[in-house]
Amino acid sequence: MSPVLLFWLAGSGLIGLSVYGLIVNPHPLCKLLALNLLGSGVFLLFGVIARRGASAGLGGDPVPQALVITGIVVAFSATAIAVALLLRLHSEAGEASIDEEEDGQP
Amino acid sequence: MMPLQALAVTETTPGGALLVLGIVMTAVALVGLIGLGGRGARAIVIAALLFQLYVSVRVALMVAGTQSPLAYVVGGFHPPLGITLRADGISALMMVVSAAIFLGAAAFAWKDFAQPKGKPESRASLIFWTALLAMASALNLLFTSSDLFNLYVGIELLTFAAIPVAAIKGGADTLRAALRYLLFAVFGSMLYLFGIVLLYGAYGTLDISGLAAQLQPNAATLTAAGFVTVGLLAKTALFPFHLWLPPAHAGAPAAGSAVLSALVVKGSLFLLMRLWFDTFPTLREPADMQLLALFGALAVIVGSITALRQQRLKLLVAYSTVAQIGYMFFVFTLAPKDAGALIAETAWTGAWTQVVAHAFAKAGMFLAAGLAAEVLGHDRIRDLGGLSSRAPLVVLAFALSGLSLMGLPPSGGFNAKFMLLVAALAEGHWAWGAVIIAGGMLAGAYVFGVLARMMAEPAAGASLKAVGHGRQWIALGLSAVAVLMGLLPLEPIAFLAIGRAL
Amino acid sequence: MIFAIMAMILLPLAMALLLLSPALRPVVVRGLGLAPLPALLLAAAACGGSVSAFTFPGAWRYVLDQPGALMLGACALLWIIAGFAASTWLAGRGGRGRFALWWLLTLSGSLGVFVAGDVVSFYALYALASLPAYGLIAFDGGEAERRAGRVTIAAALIGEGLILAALVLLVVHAPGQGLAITPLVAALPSSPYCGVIVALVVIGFGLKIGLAPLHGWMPMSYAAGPLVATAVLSGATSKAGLIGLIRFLPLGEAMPVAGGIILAAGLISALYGALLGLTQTNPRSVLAYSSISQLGQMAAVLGAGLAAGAREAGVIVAFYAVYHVLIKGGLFLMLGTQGRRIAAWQLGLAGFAALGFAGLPFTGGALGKLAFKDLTASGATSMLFSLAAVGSTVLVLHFLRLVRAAAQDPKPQLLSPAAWIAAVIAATPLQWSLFAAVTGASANSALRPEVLFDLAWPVAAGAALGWALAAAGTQLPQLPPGDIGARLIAALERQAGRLASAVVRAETQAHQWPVSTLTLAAALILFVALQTVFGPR
Repeated sequence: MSPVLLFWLAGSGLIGLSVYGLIVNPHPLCKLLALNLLGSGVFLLFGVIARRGASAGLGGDPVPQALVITGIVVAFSATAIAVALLLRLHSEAGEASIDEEEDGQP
Repeated sequence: MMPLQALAVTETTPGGALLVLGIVMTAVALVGLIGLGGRGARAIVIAALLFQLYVSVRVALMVAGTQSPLAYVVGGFHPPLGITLRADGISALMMVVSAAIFLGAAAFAWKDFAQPKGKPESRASLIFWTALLAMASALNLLFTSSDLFNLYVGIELLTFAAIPVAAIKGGADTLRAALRYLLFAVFGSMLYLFGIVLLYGAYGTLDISGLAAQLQPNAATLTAAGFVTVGLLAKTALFPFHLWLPPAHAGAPAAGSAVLSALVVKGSLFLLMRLWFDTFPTLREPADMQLLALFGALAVIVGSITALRQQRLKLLVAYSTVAQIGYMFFVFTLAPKDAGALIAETAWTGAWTQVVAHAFAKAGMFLAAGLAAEVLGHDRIRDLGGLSSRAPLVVLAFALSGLSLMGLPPSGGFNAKFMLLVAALAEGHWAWGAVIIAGGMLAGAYVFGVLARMMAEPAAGASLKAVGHGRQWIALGLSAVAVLMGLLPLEPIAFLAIGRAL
Repeated sequence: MIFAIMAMILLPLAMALLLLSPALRPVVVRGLGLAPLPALLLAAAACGGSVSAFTFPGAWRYVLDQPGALMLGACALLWIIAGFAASTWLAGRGGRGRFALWWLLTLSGSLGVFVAGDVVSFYALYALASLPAYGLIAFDGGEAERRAGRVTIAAALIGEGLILAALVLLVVHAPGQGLAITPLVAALPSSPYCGVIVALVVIGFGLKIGLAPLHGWMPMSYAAGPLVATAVLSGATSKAGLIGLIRFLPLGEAMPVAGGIILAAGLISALYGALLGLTQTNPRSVLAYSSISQLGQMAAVLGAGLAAGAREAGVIVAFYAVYHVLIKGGLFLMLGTQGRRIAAWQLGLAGFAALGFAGLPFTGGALGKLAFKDLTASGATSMLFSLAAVGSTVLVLHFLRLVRAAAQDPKPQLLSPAAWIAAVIAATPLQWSLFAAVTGASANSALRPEVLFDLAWPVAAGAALGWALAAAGTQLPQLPPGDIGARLIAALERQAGRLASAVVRAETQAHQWPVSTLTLAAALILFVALQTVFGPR
């Protein structure tokens, strides 16, 4: 098994795992963690793709690496906002769930 | 094969720097906002948005004048390494529309989010103005960028700016809605990002024209297209991926709802149209596009019927957005790559007319709904009575918006539906034609139900507050634009095809 | 003249805008009867048979031809008379600004639709003539009135959907013809979807004119709401459906099959309305059934015209419609005077005018029936028309008996008797003066003995039948207004409610997080699979 294939499998595994968690786990914090995991999986695959640049004599294609860093910043911001919202929700409602309570319809 | 060279950007065109200004000036103002504090925030925002409108109109005039897109090669680095900004007809159109609606919403919110001297500054107010500017900047980035990763950043910025606006009221329900919005939207953008990764892996570039020129219909490309598309569907809240939209849009303050419903959902829709008509035009096949049209049809029918059954005005308006988004997805089947050019262009114009008419109509309608709630102290549809005697302009604004949503002439909504219908029936898509017509009838029913209530006598014991005339006129003005669009001729608009391979 | 057209459509809308100002509101309400004046002038200038067309920039087109002008004039007259009656009736009443708003909107559409010359204007004005009627019907009413309003609007919306489909099909399959109605309809017979379009037109506009079995909403609608509103809805706005048929059926072209079907549907409606009207005890419902019968006859004449390729059918029908506009409106206004006693001479006048629907000699209605004869001369058709006239006579007598016997109305509306008398008296001289211009025959030809006999015998037969029924004390079964149509509507309401509930439940499911995310994943797989299977190679 080549290292590239190993990374591919690991990335795909992460993505599959996180999508499962995202769908199934009801707690918003778990969903948030799942999303972070999903991000990691995608970034890992992007990193593998950057290896292709190595054939040109570079250590790796620099573009994906730059993009991955940007992506991590974006994912970090999303996490920060989500955590802030979660904390506010917890202090307002005493619990943090995103299931609707009868939708405000009488 | 299409003449894809038309899309390729080679050099910065005269006026290309305007595109940078359109994105950067609002961002600069945003930094100023944080630095200078909240007292003068609203003035800075209005000034920045006025400038944005000026820039957008200049861009539109230049595009119309030269009949070719504006372009700017950032830093002189050409793709695939660098990023280009490019404004064709639809970009310029959406820039103007977005600037105008932002300005209207900001003027509407002028009083609601004031920071009066002598009182402690409120955080909500600063957040609102900041988020408004951030949304305006992110949308312009979406409308002009031609790099898929740059677009990813833009679409995330847009979401992150929209979330605080949805959550600003702060109740548990609103926070819950905002959280759902955020989690679902981030899920969507992760799918989109994965699609991009695959594309980069296959072609080594993320430039729209570069990709289009070398696209091969192989497994990687098809999978990538699927991920990108589905991710954007989640962000556009196309039925049945709309779980976050009604509570988030109904929970925001009126000016915020107006911007969210009128523009923010159009950001990801714009990207979807850009992708399928500029990047993947060769992949556009009837069978898979029918899937998008099917979701669109479901959105129209289910969204309208659900709107009809709502008991809160803002939720009704939000569900009407779910329905109206559906119409825009017919363009993917109705403008097939091998159809007669006239029909394809008719569908294309119809879809963009729908985007713009819905933007103005929905902005006006949400502002009117907000004013109605202010007059009455609630937004229960059953007890809307008395509004017409207390605030007739609000009812008029709602009625004019409703005219466009129903698709009755003269209105932009009618033009849009008529042209989509012409394309649908000309190509024998009877089912989609029937859905377009049924959607109009259902919209007529829910708009009429609300209007009839608004015209009724006030409920016993209701106390009605007065609202300022200025804000009523803003709502009315936005709705009136949607109606005045009905004066456009019912034929393809050449401006929308500038710089396109269609 | 172009300014007159603009003024006709825009004056009521401008007056509606003035209602926004509380200071001007009473002035506007007092001036309701003046709003249709431009239309009257316009019609007077054009009922001679000249055709004038105006195209505005943006392809808006207005056409003033003879059928349009005839109905326009009659409707304008009715709107003026009813407008003054409404002003008086509204004085001192709460919510009059609201009533005036719906009134003026309906008025603008109702008159404008007769001159609309392109499909977009027509569709817009037709909607304007139909939808605001809700506010008039449900004005100050209880749940029953609101339901009647809802049913009326639902019928209008469905009709409009069908009409929109027809209009778009017309445009799509006549490329390069623009949006003007005349060239589009001229190209209709060669369209591959000619049959579909004609069917959509007939059903869409048939809903508006209550063509059986699409008539259920009409008795419900006309039995509810203020009578002054019912007068214009029954008299004037129902003619929007008629002008729709005249404009969109290719009358110059002989289409025997389509024409035959319309003829049959119209005659069935004519007889059905006359017969079922007898089962009603509310004079308002009886008048509604009479409308179903009368409009059915007009549709039948159009059908005969289409079958024969007779373009003049449009003018002939419009000519008879003039009488129906004024008399039907007048009779509803008369019901509004109940609470005062209706004097015997008034009842006589109303009877004379109403028997015009059966073709009583010397009435304007008789002239209309004479004009029909050119197209309905063939044996069976002629017989059926005479039968419809017999039915109309019996129905009118039934109506008069109900009016005479009517108890004090619990909610008397107290309209001035002057209004209905003016409408009823205006009709007959108007018809006589127009007869020559429309048919080309001299008015004296209507007074020849054999013509008079032809007209008189169904009336006499009907009178005898009516008398016999009354003398024998025959009790006809009593049916709810709308008969099977009402059943159909109730069933549709139930089904629609059930369907909507199911959809809302499904939507609630769809926006659960796991459902939505799983659908997203499924959509992804489906999309990629579809692309792989059907996509480009």
